[in-house]
Formats: sequence, structure tokens, C-alpha cells
Amino acid sequence: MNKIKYIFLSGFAALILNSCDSLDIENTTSYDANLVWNDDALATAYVTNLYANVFDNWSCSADYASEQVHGMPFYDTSITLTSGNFKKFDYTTIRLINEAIVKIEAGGLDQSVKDELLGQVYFMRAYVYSDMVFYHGGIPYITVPQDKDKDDLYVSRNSTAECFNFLIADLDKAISMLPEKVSGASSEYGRIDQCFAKAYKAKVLLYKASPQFNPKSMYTNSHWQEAYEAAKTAYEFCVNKGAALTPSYSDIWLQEKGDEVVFAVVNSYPNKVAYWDYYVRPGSLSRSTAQNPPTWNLVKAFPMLDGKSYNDPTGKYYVGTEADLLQSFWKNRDPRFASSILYNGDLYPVQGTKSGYRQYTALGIADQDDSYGTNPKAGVNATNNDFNTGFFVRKGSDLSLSQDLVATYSIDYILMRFAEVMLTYAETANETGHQDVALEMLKQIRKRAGIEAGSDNMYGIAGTDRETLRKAILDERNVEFCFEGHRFMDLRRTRNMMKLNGLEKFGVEAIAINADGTDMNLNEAKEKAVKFELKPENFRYKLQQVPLSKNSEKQFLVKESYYFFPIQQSKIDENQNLQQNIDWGGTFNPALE
Amino acid sequence: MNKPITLQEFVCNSWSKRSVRIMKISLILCLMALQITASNVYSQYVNLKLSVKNTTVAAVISSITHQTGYEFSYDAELLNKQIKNVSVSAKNERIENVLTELFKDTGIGFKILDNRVFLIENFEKNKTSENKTAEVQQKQKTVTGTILDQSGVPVIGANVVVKGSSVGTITDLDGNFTLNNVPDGASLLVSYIGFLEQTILVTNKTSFNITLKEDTQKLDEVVVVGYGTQKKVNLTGSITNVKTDELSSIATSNLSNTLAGRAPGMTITGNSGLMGSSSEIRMRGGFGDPLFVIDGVIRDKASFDALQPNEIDQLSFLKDAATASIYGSSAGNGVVLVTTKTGSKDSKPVFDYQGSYSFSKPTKTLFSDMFTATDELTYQNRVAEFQGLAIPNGDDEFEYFKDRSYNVNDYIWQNPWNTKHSLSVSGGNEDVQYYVLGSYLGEEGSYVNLKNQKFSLRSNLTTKLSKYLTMNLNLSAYQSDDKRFFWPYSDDDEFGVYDLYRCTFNALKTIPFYANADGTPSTTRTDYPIYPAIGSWQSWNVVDQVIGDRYIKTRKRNMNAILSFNADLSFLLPGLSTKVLANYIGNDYTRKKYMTHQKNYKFQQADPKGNRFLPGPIDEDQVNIFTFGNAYENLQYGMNTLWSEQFNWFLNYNYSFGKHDVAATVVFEQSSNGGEYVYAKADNPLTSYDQMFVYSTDAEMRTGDASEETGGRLSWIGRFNYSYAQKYIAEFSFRYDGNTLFAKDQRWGFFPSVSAAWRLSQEDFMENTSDWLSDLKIRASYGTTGNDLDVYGNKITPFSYIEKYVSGSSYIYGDALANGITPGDVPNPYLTWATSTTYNGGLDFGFLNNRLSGTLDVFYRKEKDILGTRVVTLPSTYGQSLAPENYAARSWRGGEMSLMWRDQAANGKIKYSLYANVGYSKDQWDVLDQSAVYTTGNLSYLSQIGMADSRVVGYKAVDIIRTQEQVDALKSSGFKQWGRDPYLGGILYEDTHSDGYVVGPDGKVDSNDSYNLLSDNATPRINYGFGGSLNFKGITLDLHFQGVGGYDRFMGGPSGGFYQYGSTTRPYYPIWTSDDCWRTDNVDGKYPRVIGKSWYESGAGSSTFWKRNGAYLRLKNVNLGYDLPANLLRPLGLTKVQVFMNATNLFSISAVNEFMDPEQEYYDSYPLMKTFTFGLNFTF
Repeated sequence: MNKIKYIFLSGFAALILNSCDSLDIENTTSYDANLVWNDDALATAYVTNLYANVFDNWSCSADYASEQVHGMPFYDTSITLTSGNFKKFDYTTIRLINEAIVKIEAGGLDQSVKDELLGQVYFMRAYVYSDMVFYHGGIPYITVPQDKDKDDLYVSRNSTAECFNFLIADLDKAISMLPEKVSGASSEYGRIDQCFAKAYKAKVLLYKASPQFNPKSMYTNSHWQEAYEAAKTAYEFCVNKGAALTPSYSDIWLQEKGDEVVFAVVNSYPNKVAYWDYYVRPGSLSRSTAQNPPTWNLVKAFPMLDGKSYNDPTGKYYVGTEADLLQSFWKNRDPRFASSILYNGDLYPVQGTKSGYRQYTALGIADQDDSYGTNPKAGVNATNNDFNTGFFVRKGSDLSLSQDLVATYSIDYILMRFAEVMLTYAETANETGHQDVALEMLKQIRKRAGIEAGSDNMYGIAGTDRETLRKAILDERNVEFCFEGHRFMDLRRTRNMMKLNGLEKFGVEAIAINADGTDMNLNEAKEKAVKFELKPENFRYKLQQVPLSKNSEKQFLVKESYYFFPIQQSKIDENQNLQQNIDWGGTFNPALE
Repeated sequence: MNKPITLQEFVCNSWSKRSVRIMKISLILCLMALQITASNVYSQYVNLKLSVKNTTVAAVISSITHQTGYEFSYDAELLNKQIKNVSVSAKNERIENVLTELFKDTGIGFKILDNRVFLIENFEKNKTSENKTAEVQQKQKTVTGTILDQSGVPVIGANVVVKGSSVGTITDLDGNFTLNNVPDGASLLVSYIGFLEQTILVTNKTSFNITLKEDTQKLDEVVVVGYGTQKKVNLTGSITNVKTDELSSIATSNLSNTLAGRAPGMTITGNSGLMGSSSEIRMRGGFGDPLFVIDGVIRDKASFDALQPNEIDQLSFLKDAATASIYGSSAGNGVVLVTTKTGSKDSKPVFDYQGSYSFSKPTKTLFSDMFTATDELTYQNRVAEFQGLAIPNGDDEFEYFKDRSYNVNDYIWQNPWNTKHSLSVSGGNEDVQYYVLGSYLGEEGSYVNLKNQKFSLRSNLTTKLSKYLTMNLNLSAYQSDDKRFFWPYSDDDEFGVYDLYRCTFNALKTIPFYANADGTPSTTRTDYPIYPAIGSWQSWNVVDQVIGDRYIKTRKRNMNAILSFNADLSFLLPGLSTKVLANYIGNDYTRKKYMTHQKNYKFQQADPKGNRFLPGPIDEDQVNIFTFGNAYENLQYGMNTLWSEQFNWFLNYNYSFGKHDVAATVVFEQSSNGGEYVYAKADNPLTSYDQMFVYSTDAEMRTGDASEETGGRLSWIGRFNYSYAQKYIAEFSFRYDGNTLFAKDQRWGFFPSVSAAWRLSQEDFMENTSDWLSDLKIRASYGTTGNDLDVYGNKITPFSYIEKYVSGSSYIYGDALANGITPGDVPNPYLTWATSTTYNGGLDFGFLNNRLSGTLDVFYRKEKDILGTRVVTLPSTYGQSLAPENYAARSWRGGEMSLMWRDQAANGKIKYSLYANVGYSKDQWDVLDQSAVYTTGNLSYLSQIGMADSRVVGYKAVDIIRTQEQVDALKSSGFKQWGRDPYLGGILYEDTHSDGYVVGPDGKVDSNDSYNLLSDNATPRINYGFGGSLNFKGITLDLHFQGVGGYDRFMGGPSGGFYQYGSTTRPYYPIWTSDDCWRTDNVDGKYPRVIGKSWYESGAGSSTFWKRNGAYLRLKNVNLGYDLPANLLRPLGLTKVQVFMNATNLFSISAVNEFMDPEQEYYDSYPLMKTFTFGLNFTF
């Protein structure tokens, strides 16, 4: 009996000892919500997470919607009410931002810390909303984290004009709290400063003044003056804080934290990498097929070394017809061409390749992953004729990475560079009667690009009148900012988007030739290619449409209604107070007039 | 007392043990006849107070029965016998001592077996009373007879009574009985434990030879239920018991793989044949794993899978809430209960060895073996033909590959095999019982470099510490060591390895895997692995992928100890006992990943102008380093060390008085668990070696991470059972559960259940049917269980009830990475369980002496308060999803039936049984938020409300476009599909919707047209199994068929339909090398045209074109065994030797077989295997 007692006593003791706390477990995976807004480190960490949500990194699909790279994004049903394509409605991020604004203000942080954080957060709110406005016109501009029990959630769209006012108000508030300049040497480099905020304010006002929002008064509306003033302020402020063009165009990215950077997203291996080289390089030197091969359409657009078009008979390097250019497209071009685009026979000194390595794209000669074309003598068609173009992006490439390390690419992504500030200044100046400013900005950009000044010191710029300069600025943006994601929005903003309608894209097949112009025996060509003896001039070139396949969509189908994309139908289904845009069956006028 | 003898079945643990006891009864009765002594192995302590004068035996035993619960068997005449003085006052005295005292001067002897006392008079006295009654009852007959069992052995102690009277007797040592005073036309009821009752009509005949048939229904069979055991006859809920002895000859590393089709209402799907893969278990259409309880402790599925079939004593599936609600908040998807074997009380050591060897082959031809280099050439030509380009492959190429094709399987495939050995010893005596099992499994998988070894041990020891106290220690442990090739593109514990399998069959057949320096292809590994330049994808060498030095090694260890003490408290209150149980589980796994880069060489074309497949010398400079997405070669360790402990305290009470049986159990349960996860990685080694010290010590090259988890449960559990006369049974049970997932004041949930059963066949008015109806029981139950899963079937995240911040995305400022934090999921302080209520009705029946038996169940289950995110109520400008709320509801309806026919033929030489079971279940959503388009919008006909969760939705295909006229007509009408013109050989789809999902055509086919409801049976609604076994002269044959029905599905790959992923170079899928594809010279082709593009028209996408009936029937298992004759074995000291052969998955019948094995998930899923096993079993 004693034994039993003993066992039972111990059993009950165990029961009593343990029973109190087996449900009382510790949360080992999250932060206590009460700490966050009273703790500098945690509140700052909250804002850090916003940075990661708000700012993108390098993207190889940035110009997919333009003529610059391959791809057929616009076809009959590419933009519909139902699909999510070309829609921006990122209220999740907006809520995170609004939450921060309200909680920081209410929290117990020092005022200086509050201002420092609020400046960044107000900027981000404007930054996120501006994208939505550019896409759809006015959207509900919500500035508080809504309480579902107290607030009316069935909001209506603010008018486009109201939205621009909100954007500017937020940016002004940000500017009042942000540091003037966060230098490249600072441990805070990468944070938003006044330079960026002012430059972005100018950009927002540029959109506001642009024909997209003012179809009836494209270049006569009063917003241009406002935009010009902001652009001038931004330009002068930036210059004052040390902003300048990087002397060599190809160094803009490779020399990180340079003077041209207005705002950059910092990359650093191994903590943060980008897949730029992974996706732009030829397949044989990466581990992926090139995702954004440039088109012949873009190649043509680059001016000649004197800044004039290949078909401008007044040019020093006048070529003639497009067919003529096709056989010499690499000769005497704007140096930005060679630093932006990799072409057949071009030297391409990637780490790990043999010295003197040249990149080929010719079928039967190039690696199968890189080859392009249908040359029947090769006995096979290239695999990627719907995808490749015979060109690859070279801009921003880090050739010091060998093929196996291509995924460690960690060059900073420059979200806004000083050249854009200058061209915004140029554009707004030109529309407000300051052609001299516009011309000066263009000249500086072209000078840095390496274009010859010419005897007239005009760097190939055709004239100084408003229309000529307007076109010159748009064209300049096309080449200066190629692959940086500006082109489609520029065309749309300036109401030139319909030029894309019916667009066909082309690639260039290379076929090796003998000195006499006859096609070279492929075996011989191959032998020479292995020794990199074939140069661009040892080929003849042939246009091929991209994509090549039968039955593929081959033409852009762009509609007027794309000047303002529709609000996705599911959002309207959720909230009948949201009006659809006029061109999409609704009553909302997304323009400013 | 109408019947002098009531059947009080033995409480015992298994059928096998029961037969031992029957022998024991016979033996003891023999002894009793010779010398009536008082001694009994099962005697219990009783309290009895009795003080009467001049009474009858009848009165005395009635009183004893009332006070102690003991039942009596006796010769009817005894009842009237007078007893003069009886005075007993016993407290905690052995029953035999009490009875000895009671009957000391009466000439009455007794014998006790379990709850029954057999009374017998002295033989002499018996005779005189016979004579006496003969005189009195002259009109009545004297009937004599002999009772034998089926093998002709006399049945001793069988009861023979005249129906409807108190006249009766029991058989003597030779099975003979004599019964006087039997009226003409009376019926004799002959009964004996373990045998079927028989009724004999007394006519002119006065002498009978009666053969009793064994009761195959096994009325005393005991099944495990939650927190206890119960006699099968007393069950009120829906429980399916699986015989594990039928499973032990199936060689698999995971127990769940053996269960398909064995139990009605269970969906058991194994969709991969990769070594180590397991099967998914779903009960009655549930969406999550059931709860696994092994030896009374809640475990995970891995622990269930790790069990050896031959260490299992009982395996039960608790299907309705009446049986499962005792597990409360975790039992929403049903419960699988397992008890492991124990030793036996009276046995010498019995050794049992089982060894087997098995090998497997894919059930379908491996994809890579389905086409050749020549097919690849043809494919390329067809693509070029469609594209209107030059035809790439001519006579040279076809000639070159006439008898050449590089097949990845030649290097990496092997037929998997495994070998399994287990040795157990069990035995025991009155005081100690033991069962010890050790087993080993060695496997090699289907790819070179897939290896697994598993050791397991179980030791179950029961010791009687004192006359009141028993101790049980159940220890089990296993370790498994698993090695597989390094493969980063699927989860390391995933067995589908679809991506890898895809890589194998879509590897080029025209480019060698290895070459010599001069470029000539090699059939063995060389220093020059070749990478296939496929032009559209990053390429690597698939062979090296599998046979290279990279690996993932996983070691899993599990140790479980259950210690329990059971105390008999009948000295306090008869029938009272208590038990404490403590359990500890230590569980860890260590995973090591060794990753090296691949250095592959480019295939050199000897002649760029001619046959491009002719190899040229390797260029040492043209290499491609394949990194598996890792910039540096690295070594990684991941470790989990988990523990859990559980404490239970049981209070059990069992008491019978008169016809009343009462049982009650109250349990307190508490458990805690926790553990750590640690991860370490190092990059950039000095040399290729799989130890950390060779790796860079640069801090940036070393990574570590760790996390911890904790959890706990607290519950009160109770069950109360009452039965009257074994006819009316009622049960109430509850669980009061505390769950850490919920806020403090929401934490406790109460889950009650009630159930009842009526054994109709025991009723008097059913006597007329007793010649054909042997057993009939009606059951009904109602109960609730909880479910801490959300609408997607995922477990609720801990601390979802409080506001919190979690790690967010990091960002770099300057050169330093800064951590980010972000709000955690929106909290819901009112978070609670989903509550599931089940109504179950059932029938258990036996016909024709229980030769045909079965059960029938129907159920309705409703689950409400399922946690889900409210979607329709708020506009997305609100900016966050709402806190998930307990609002959704769904329900299930279904039923199960099982039938068993068990009989013998040829005088018992052939024993056979046939069985069949079928289960049906279908779910529907009753309350669920959906986006507006499904509620009020254009897709309201696709609303989930009132429909099953999984449905088949897709495009409607018309047919392949076969003629130019069709193309022209479509083109001229401006008809486009995804913006493209229709083309010959492409699929034509039905234009069912316009933009915005508006029903009705708009002249074009696009994604709007994919919203057609094609079937609402996207998961099998019917599961069935049937089979039989035959035993003849030591040969046993078991066949087991299994299948599903009520199932529609799409064929194709994971993205839906059949993509032409291979572009212009590779067929990728064998379907594109099929002669059945549409061609200009095969306009009636079954499949779309090869065009080298993955378009909907070319086969991609889910549409009716690829919809098939997913029903299948498969011969799941065949087992053939032979028991060597006992007379051969006896001289060798062996008890039993069996050789057996087993085959699984031999064939299947299904519409799906057109493409794949019916259990495969996708067209390109890793294949299933058929397995052949040869084994040997001996017992000594």
C-alpha cells in the first residue's frame, strides 16, 4: 500500500506542478506590438521594410511595353477590365505607409526621429500614389489607415486634380523634413533626401502638365509653368548639392555612388543581389536565356557619332537608307550605342572567357543558346527566333563576373539619375519659353555621351525651335534612358503612344561572308570564330521579324483608351462608388480638363 | 431470470488470445470434474455481505450477482436446492474464498472463469435428483446428446436449456448431456462461448449429435477506442478496424502505403513511387490529415508511417464524432488509433522472424524510354514544317541515329529494391509479459544515389508489481538514414520530385551525356560531361545531377517511452481502477547538404555544315558552370531537435449488476512540446570535401539561423457507458480542451458526444429470425469535434489573436543591411475553433450464422466557424485583408458499407473469405465569402456555395481543326483565339464568354472563356476495395483490389494541359512523338499538331479536350503464402514456417491509363511502382 501511495502522490504532484502552465507558452517568433512605436530601432526597421516594398530593383522587363526590346505585350485582349494586366492598385502598401504616419506621430519617439522617419514615409506615399495616378488618373487618395468599424470604406475616386494636389502636398511635407543630401559616403546612403524628393516632385508636375492629362491643351496648359519652376528648383538644388553627370556614360552604373545618382537602391552581395546580368547576357555566358534582347527598331534610333540620324543627309556620317545602315549599324554611332547594346562580332570581355572573346549570334557559328536566324546552310534553325534579335543588352553589365557568378550581380540600381533631372528641366523649360535652357541641357547630355560637338557646337541638334526641341528631348530620352523603363510612359505621357500601334519588331541575323561578299563556308567560319577572327564586318545582315513563328502576334495593337488604363472590374464590383474611366464604359474623367 | 445462463463475454485483448483461453476453459473444466477445487487465475477481490437463513441457491446467487457482478452457470435443478444457513461478510476477499465458505456444506462445487461462476453438484446427488424428477415429470421426455465442435472435439461445459423454461444443464467431459423433463415440441438452445448459439427442435428424436459452429463474428472481439477499449458488440460509433496481419507481407517503408482500400470511407492516395514516399490519408472526404494516436499518445504521421505492420496489435479508424470527439479540438478530420503488441500471460518465449526481399518496376514505361533520338529529329522537322522553315534533319541525321539514342536512364535508373528483416520475441507469465521487436530495412531507390536504411526497436514490458499494481513500459525507437542526390528545386522531403523527373525525360537524346577528349560519346562517366545546348533554358548535365558527388543526407531519430502504472482500486470500490501514464518523445533530424558545381563542356560540332550531331573534339575553354543557383559551392546543415511530453491520469470504473453494465472513464491529459531548429551554411571551399573545415572562414561566407517552438495542451476527458442486458447501449463522452492557439478567454472548448445502440437480434421477438439473422445492431450517434485549421486546411498560426510585428524585408543603406519589420497577420482576439458536428447512423449485421456480416453507416457532418478571410465585405482600398474570422461553414454527406463472407468448404479443409467495402462522401460549402463576381457578378453560377470545394473548371474544346475549309471559315469570320488566327491541327475552343466573364460569345476566345463548370467531382467521391482470401492445406492466397469512382480530372502537366515545352528542339513529352498527333497526313489524329509552341491551341491549358474520367480499379495486392506442414517442423523445433510472395500494383483499369498511372497527379509526375516481394516467416 505504501508503494501505491507513493506513486499516486508523485503522480498528483506532477499534475499539480505542471497543470498551471502547459497552456502558457511564450511567443518566440514575433515582436511585441507595444514596443514598436516607442523604440527608435524598431520604428526605423518598420520604415526599412517599406523601402523594400516601395522601391524596385533592376528589371529586365522594364521596357517590354515599348519598341526597345522584343515582346508583344499589346494585342487585342491584352488589356481588359477583368485581367490584372496594366493595373496598379497597391493599397496594401498605402495602408502600411498610413499606419506608419499615424503611429509615428502618436508614438513616443523623439521629435527629431519622428521627423526623420516621417519625411521618408510621406515621400513614399506620394511615390506609390503617383504610379497609380499615372496609370489610371485620379484614385481614392486615402491618408489614414481606415478603421473598418468607423470609417466609410466605400470611398470614391478623388479627381485627378485633387490627386496631384495631394501628391504635391505629401512631397512638400517630405521635403520639409528630409535631410538635404545623403552623400555616397554616408552610412545612410540609399535613403530618400531632398534632392530626390524635389526631383521627383518635378517629375510628378511634368506628368501633370503633359499631354496625357491635358489632351485639349497639350502644350498650352498652365501646369507647365508650375512644372518648370519645380524642375528648375530641383536642378539647381541638386547641382548645389554636388550632382553632376558621370563623365563617361558607361561608368554611370559601374562607378557606384557617383555624382549622377539622385536615388539608388543599393545592392550588395550576398545580402542583396539583382538578376540583371543573369537575364541580359547571352545564354552561353549566363545561366538563363537573355530575357530582353534589344530590337533593330532601337538600334536604328541611336544617332550617328555627330548626333544626327543615319538618314540625315546633312550628317557627317550619313549612311543612307535603312538597308544601308543594316550592313554597318555598328560604325560611327553615338557611343551610347556600343555601351548599351552588344552585337554580333562585338568584343565582350567577360571574366573567364579567352582573351579577345567576341560574342557571335550567327547561326551555325554562335553557341546554340545565343544564335539567331534561319540560315539554311546551318542545317538547323535557331531555337529562339521568337525571342532573340541578334542583339543583347550591354548596359549595366558587370563583365567582371564569370559565368558561374552571374547571379551575384550587385551593382546599385539607380532609380533616378541626374540626367533625368536635367531632361525634365529641359522639357519643362522648352514648353515655357526657355529654349536656351532646354538646348543647354541637351548639349550637356550629348557631350557626356561622346557625341561630336560639330562645327556649329549644336551636337547634332537640328534646331532651337520649340517643336524641334520637343522631339529632340523625346528622342534623347529614348536612347539615353534605354532599358531603364521610361520609353512606354514617355510615349504615353506625350500622347505619342499611338505611334506604337501596328508596331512590328525586328531582329538582325548575321551570316558570315568572305571578302568578296559571298557566304563563307560554315566550317571555315566556325574555325575563325573560335579564334575570334570574325569581326562585325565579316558578316552580312538580314532583318527578321520578331517573333518569327507563324501565328504569333506580330503587331502591337494599341488603343486610344490605353492613355488611361481601366480600374480593374473586381475593384468596382467590391465598391460601387468607384467610377470607371470614360473610355472604359464609365463616367470618370481621368484627365485634368 | 428467464434464462438461467446469460452470455457474459470475456474481456480480452485479441482473438488469438481468446482461443488460448477457450482451451484453458476446457482444461479447467476437466480438472473441475475430477476434483473440485478453488483456484482461479482471474479471480478478483469482492465485497459481499450476505446473511440469510433457509433459503434457496437461487436466492443466494441472485444476491451475489447483484453485489459482485458475477454471473452463474448451473444446472437448473440446482436453483431450488435449499441452503440452511448463510452468513458471509466479506470485504476485499477473493471471490473463491467467499464461495467456498458459502457452499461448504452444500455439496455444491464451483469454478470461476472471469466473471462467471460455474456451479456443479456432486455426481451422486445429481443422479438421485434425476431419478426424482423422472418420477414427477413422466409426461415429459428425457433428451440426450453429444456436442462437438467442427473438428469433432467434444465441447465441455456447453449450456443446454429448454427454451422458455428454467430447465437446463451443461455438458460433461465427453460433451454429453442428459436433460429431463423436456416437453414435446420444445426447443433446446445450445450455447457456448465462442460458438454460435443453436436451437434444436425436440421431435420424436431423443438423442442428438450437435455440432457447434465457431462464431466467426467474434462477439467478444475488443477494439481500441479513444482512451480505452471496447467490445465490438458494444460499439455505438463508427469505427473501422483493419487487420494488420494482412499487411505485414507488403514490403514498404511506410505503413500508410499498405492501407488503400482496406477501410471504407478512407481515401488513401500514394502518388509517387520514389523511395520513402508515403500515402495521404483522408477520412470521409476530409481536407486534412487525421489525428494519429499510438499507444494512447498523439503522434505525427511520420511516426505512424514508421510503424512496422507486425508490431501493431490493433489499428482502428474513428470516423464519426461519437468516437473521435474524445480527442476534441484536434479530431476534426478523424482519428487513427494504433496499439502495439504486448506479451502474453502464459507463454514460453515465442520468436518470430520475418525476412523479405522486394524489387519494383514502374507501373508505366518511363517517359525517357518512350522515345528515341529519331523521334526527336522527327519532332524538330514537324516544328519547322509548321513554322514554314527549312527542314533541319535529313537523311544524314536519321542515318546517324538509326541505332543510336542517348538515354539518361542508361546512366541513372535502377529498379528499386529493398530488404527487410524483423525479429520479435514475446512471452510472459502471470507477473511479467514482454514483447520485443527489432527490425531493419535497407533500400535502394530508383535512381543511383538513393539509399535508405532504417532500424527500429520496440520493447513492451508489463510487470505486476503487487497484487494491486501493474506497470507497463513501452519503449520504441527508430533511426533512418536517407541519402539522395542534391536537388534544390523541390522540397527536400518531397517525394514527387517532378522537376527532376522532368529533367530526365526531356534531356536531349541526340547529344551525349559524356564524351572523351576527342569528342566521341562515352557510355560511362568521363572527365567531360556535356551540357545540352537546348537554346531556351539554362542547361546542365542531368546524369551528373544524379550520379555526381552532391548529396542530401537526412538522419531521423525518434525515441518514445511510455511508462504507465495501473492500480486496481477495487478494495475501495469494486470495479474502480486508476492509471497514470507518462510519455516522452525525443525526435530529431539532421540534414546535411553537400553542393558542388557542375562543370560541363560544350558539345562540339565536327562539321557545322553537315550532320550537326557528329561530335568534334572537346574545347577545354568552352565550359558552362552550373551552380544550382548557388554562387559558391557550399555545405549546409539543418537540425531539428524536438521533444514532447504527455501526462495522463485515468480513473476507470466498471461495474455490473443484474443486467446493467456501467463503465466510466475520466482522464486528465496534459502535454507540452518544444524544440529548436538550427541551420548552418558555409560557402567557398578550398577543395571539394564535405566537411566544414575546408570552407571559407570569412564571416560573409558563413550563415547561421535558429528558431524555437513551444506548445502545450491541457484536457479533461470523460466517457460514460451504460448497457442493459447487452441489448441497449448508450454512451456519453466529452472532451474539455485547452488550446494555446487561442486567447486566454477563448481557450477552452467543450466537445460532447452521445451515442446509442440497440442490438435488435438479442430481442425475444427476433427469435423467429435467428436461423438466418445472427446479429443485428442499430447505432446512432451525434457528436462534436474541433478543428484548428483554416479554410485552406492549414493549421492556425500561433498567436494569431494578438497584434504583433514580424520580420519583414531587409534593405541596404550605405554598405550595411538593415532589418525590416512588418505587421503580422491582422489579429483576431476572438479566434476559436471550427466546430464540426457529425450525425452518424449505422447498422451492424450478420446473416447465416454470421457467415455474412457487415456494417452500414451513413453520416452528415457540418463544420461551422471555419477560420477564413472575409473577402466580399470590404473594398481593396481598405489595404489589408481582414483578420480571419470564424465564419465559414461546409458540410459533408456520405456513407460506407462493408461486407464480409467467411466460410469454409470441403469439411473445413478450405477456408475462404470474401470482402468488399465502399465509401462515398461529398462536401459542399455552406457559408463562404467569395469575390463579388462569384456572388452577384457574372460568374455566380460558379459560386462555391452549395458546391464541392474541388471542381473541374476550364475551357470547352470543340475539336481539333481538321480541314482548311474550317480554318478559312473561321478566319473569314474574324474569329481569334488569344489574338491568334486558327490553324490546321490546333484545338478549336468554344467561345462561351465575353470580357468581364459575361456569358455569351464575343467572337474571340481568351481567358474569359475558361470559366466553365465541367464537373464537381474533382476528387474521388467513391472509394472502394474488395478481395478475398483462400486457405487450403497451408496455402493462403489473398487478393486485394482497390479503386475510386465519382472522379473527373484533367490530364496533363502541372500548368494544365499538355505544353509543348520543348519548343523547337525537344519533344519534352512523349505525347508529342506519338503517331496520334494531327499531321497533314493524319488529319484524324487524336492529339493536337506539333508546332513547338505552348499555346492553348497546341494543347496547353485545362479544357474538356483533356478531361477524363478518373475512376480506376487496380489489383493493389496479391499475396501467396505457404505454411510448411507442422509435422516437418516439429522435429526442428519450429512452430511455423511460411514462405510468401507478394505483388502490389500489378495492373489497373482506367480511362486515365491512356497517359499515366491513375494515381499519378500529373502526366509527368514521378511514376508509381509495382513491387514484387519474396519473404520468409518463421516462428519458434
